[in-house]
Amino acid sequence: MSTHRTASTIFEISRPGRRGILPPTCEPGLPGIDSCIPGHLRRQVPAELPEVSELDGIRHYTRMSTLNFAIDNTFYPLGSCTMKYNPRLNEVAASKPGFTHSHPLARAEEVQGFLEAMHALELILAEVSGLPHVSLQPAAGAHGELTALMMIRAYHLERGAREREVILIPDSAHGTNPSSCTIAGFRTREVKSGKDGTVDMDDLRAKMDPEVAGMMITNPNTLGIFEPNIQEISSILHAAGGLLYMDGANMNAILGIARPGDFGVDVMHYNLHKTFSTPHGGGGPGAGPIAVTNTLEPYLPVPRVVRSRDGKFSLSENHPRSIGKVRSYFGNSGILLRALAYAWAHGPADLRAVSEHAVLNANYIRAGLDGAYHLPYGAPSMHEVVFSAKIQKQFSVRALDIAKRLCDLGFHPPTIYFPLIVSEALMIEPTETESKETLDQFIQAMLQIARESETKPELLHNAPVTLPVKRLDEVNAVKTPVLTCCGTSPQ
Amino acid sequence: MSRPANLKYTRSHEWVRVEGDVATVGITDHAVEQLSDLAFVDLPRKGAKAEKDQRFGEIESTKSVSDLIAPLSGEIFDVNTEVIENLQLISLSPFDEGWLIRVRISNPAELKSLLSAEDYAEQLKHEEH
Amino acid sequence: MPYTPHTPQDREEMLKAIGLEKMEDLFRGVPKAIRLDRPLNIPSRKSEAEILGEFERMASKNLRLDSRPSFLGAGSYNRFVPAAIDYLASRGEFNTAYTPYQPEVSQGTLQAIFEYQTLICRLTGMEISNASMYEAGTAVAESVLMAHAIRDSSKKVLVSEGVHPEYRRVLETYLRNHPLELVTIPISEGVTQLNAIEGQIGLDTAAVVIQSPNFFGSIEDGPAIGKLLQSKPEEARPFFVVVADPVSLALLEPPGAYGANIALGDGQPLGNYPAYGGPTFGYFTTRMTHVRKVPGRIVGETKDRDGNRGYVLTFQTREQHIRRERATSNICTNQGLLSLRGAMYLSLLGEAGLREVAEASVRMAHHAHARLTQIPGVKAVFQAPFFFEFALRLPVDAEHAYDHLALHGITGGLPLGRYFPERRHEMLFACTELTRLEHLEHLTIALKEICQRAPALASH
Repeated sequence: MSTHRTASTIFEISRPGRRGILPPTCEPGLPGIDSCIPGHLRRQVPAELPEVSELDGIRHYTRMSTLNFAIDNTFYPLGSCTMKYNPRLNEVAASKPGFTHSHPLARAEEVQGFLEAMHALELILAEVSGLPHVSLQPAAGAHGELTALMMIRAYHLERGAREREVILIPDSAHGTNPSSCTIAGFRTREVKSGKDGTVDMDDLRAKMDPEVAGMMITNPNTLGIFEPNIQEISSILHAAGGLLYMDGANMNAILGIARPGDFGVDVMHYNLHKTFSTPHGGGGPGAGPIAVTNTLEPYLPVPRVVRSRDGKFSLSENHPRSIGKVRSYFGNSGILLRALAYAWAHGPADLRAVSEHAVLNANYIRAGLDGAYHLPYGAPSMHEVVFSAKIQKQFSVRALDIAKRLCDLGFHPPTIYFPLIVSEALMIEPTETESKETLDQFIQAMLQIARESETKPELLHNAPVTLPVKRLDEVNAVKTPVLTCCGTSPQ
Repeated sequence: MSRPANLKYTRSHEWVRVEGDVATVGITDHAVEQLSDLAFVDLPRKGAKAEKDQRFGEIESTKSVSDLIAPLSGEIFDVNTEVIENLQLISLSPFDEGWLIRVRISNPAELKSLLSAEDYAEQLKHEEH
Repeated sequence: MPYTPHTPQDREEMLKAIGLEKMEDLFRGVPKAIRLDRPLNIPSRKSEAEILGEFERMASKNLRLDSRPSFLGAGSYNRFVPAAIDYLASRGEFNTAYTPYQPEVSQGTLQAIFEYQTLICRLTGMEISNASMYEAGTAVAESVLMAHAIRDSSKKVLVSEGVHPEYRRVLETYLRNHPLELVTIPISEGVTQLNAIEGQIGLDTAAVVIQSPNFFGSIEDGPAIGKLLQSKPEEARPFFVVVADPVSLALLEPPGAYGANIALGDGQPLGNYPAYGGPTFGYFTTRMTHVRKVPGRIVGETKDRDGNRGYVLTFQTREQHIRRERATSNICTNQGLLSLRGAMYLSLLGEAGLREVAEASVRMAHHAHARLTQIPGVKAVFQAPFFFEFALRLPVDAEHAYDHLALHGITGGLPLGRYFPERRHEMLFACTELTRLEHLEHLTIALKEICQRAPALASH
């Protein structure tokens, strides 16, 4: 049966001569195309795009969509990714034609509404972070990291500190951190986590030297633990002339609870697609605004939004110490609008309540699973909890098997094998928008799997069995790569 | 799988067979097991220089990348190109057909730093914890 | 509070299960000294109705491209977005899913990306495509970093002045911390001249980057540039990077046919709104031999245990989450939903539809060019063949012309002085399939009047 549950490709349903959506008709009396483009520049071989009717196309995409787990149909506790409900309000608000049909090179006076919204969002992000200046330009979290690192580089270069080319990174960090360092021209140096899962302070001191330009830290860290020594970490960095960067991937745990600017962070990024509820779209788009101290403000990307005394908004390019542009035009504007709608829907008390309930839900899951799964670190959990499938591994059941079995039971699996410092990691982030009943069902499913690991491990090794496809061969995908339909395109 | 007692080993899970001034290098059964699903191996050109404790190539599973670390310095005068096409040679026969490079040893003193089969087995025991 | 389901009783039961007394205890891991002891100073909570009202008020203050004749383009175009795309792309199963790390529960997203990759490869004539970049500017920067990673002894990169100035600025920012010199090849007659490229190519050149149609709308002679680069010995051959508007590839020889190593561009014209610059997506294609250096996600076809077809993220060891500091790119989140819209657009318009869109734009642009250059005082800036955009020299400052066109209810072309101070009398006009003869008539009349009043305007 399963062969019929997946979808044909759009190329397989294509039939020569069939038409889908008809574009606007060409006006009469225009010059012929041959007189417009010299023959030697014309395309010789057609692209062979699909030819399907509109209904066939609608069915094709609708059918494919049904093969996905998504927040809208499934509990999706993918750790570090913050799969909370994506309010429909945001979609409607940002999709108003006055926003979608405005041109990025329109003059400031022609986009006053946009700039007003962007300015309002900047103020909110500045207040929530405790860092007074914001750039909305970065298109994603990793892009925000890169932007901030470029600013740190510019800061040190301006002080003649060319030798500062090392960034410290805890061994629990997201992979984007070290790779952003490399793209920004830095080298990385790893700082170990201690027995409690937080930064090992002795190792940090040992890793400090005049080459250190700064440190990237995720707080709460990727184990879901708030770094208890964060102020001291900041002091050590600052005393040595370095700067402290915070990866804001887990900012959803501390909204209105604690502010990075207050605990010694110099620059951070937000993932608006995590903390501020904008949808992930199957991989993107996101937005990765950064917030910085007064010291780093001159290096922010341009253009910057400026509000004048008369309430008019403009874009300013006049920042000679700026690192420049990290993206064309303004930014992922549509995503920024959604984040503003989300912030407005909450206000101060409810934004804090977001974090409270995110932490409540994570701890409820922790309490429900502790014992059945190994908890490698006992420190208080914030918005997510990391277990290890160490107990289950004795029965040859790995984190991957547990993940696949969860799919069969109707849940999206947690993040697995991350952070790297936990073997067989299961990183669970429920978010605040899930009800107690959903969490209870998930806990029951996880407990059932823990039992099955002992009694019926083959059930887990064979999972999933209820989905359109069985376990997929990823090795084959690398060894005999097929990266386009029906072979490659006509050359 | 039995681990040959006549070979030398490294902490980074390479093995070395020394014959005169020639060292044949591969990865151990333990490394193969850790990588689980081998997907790709990147080896140097013939004639490249191996430098002790520096990477000479990479080996990948679908979800991990590991450096191949040279146990000894010297000229890499032979490369097992067959394993590039057929990774199974490494997983099925890591100590024989799955060899990776042959090095003309330039500094025999480096041999002293290599582990015996016994020492290597001891190290693996520690890693378990 | 919105979006959170807990009742007071739920909270109580949950706290009890955890072994805590009050919500505040949940934060016992956060040192007291750094806890915020006051409410955030942000606007108070608004209802859904209030928020929609506020957004409507702000939206109404923005100029809508679709509200009046518009000739503004320069990389972001007023193209028709079929109704089906908004409808399909808003499906929660696509929109509220994450990156498809667990393939068995993400076959919809994975197959859609796989088809997207195929569509883009067919359009560009290239062999492989990634799942998307942020937009064209960062795609240009990443293409140069990739070329540098492959040609690691290289020291400079040649970039045509015809590449969008926004993309060049992004590249400049990215290269500031890399040992690569950025050399701009000036255009002449609207296009990059072969001898200008040839004069700069050396053994140390990582890449040659051109855009066609270029920023000024002119069609570069890609095949000739490709041939020039092919004539270089392989070890001295720079990467050939071509930035191309995807719609133009319905009619123009694709980069894959003339030797491009990387072809990329912005996907906004494919079913995405200008939306004040984003989100759109960057497409990124290359050759199979470079697959291990490609930035971003790639989807491949494979089989499940029963031998049935399925799709997975593949070649993941290239990426930051595995290769970390040695990855050639740091991209993680991409622009998935926008590339999905691009795939829907190409699928639903199909071969004939995309060609019609391109032809209508080109033919209208050539008609407009002929009409407007008949106005006394208005002159073509370049002689090179152009596609659907072209630059005209006006007898007045183009910013003034833009103002006056606005008074006539027309959104003018881009005053080129914004990017090129020496071109402040030039305006870049864009036509699309939405440009009507009536719009052009309107523009012609207004521009005529501006030209007649030129001496008076010039004195302002």
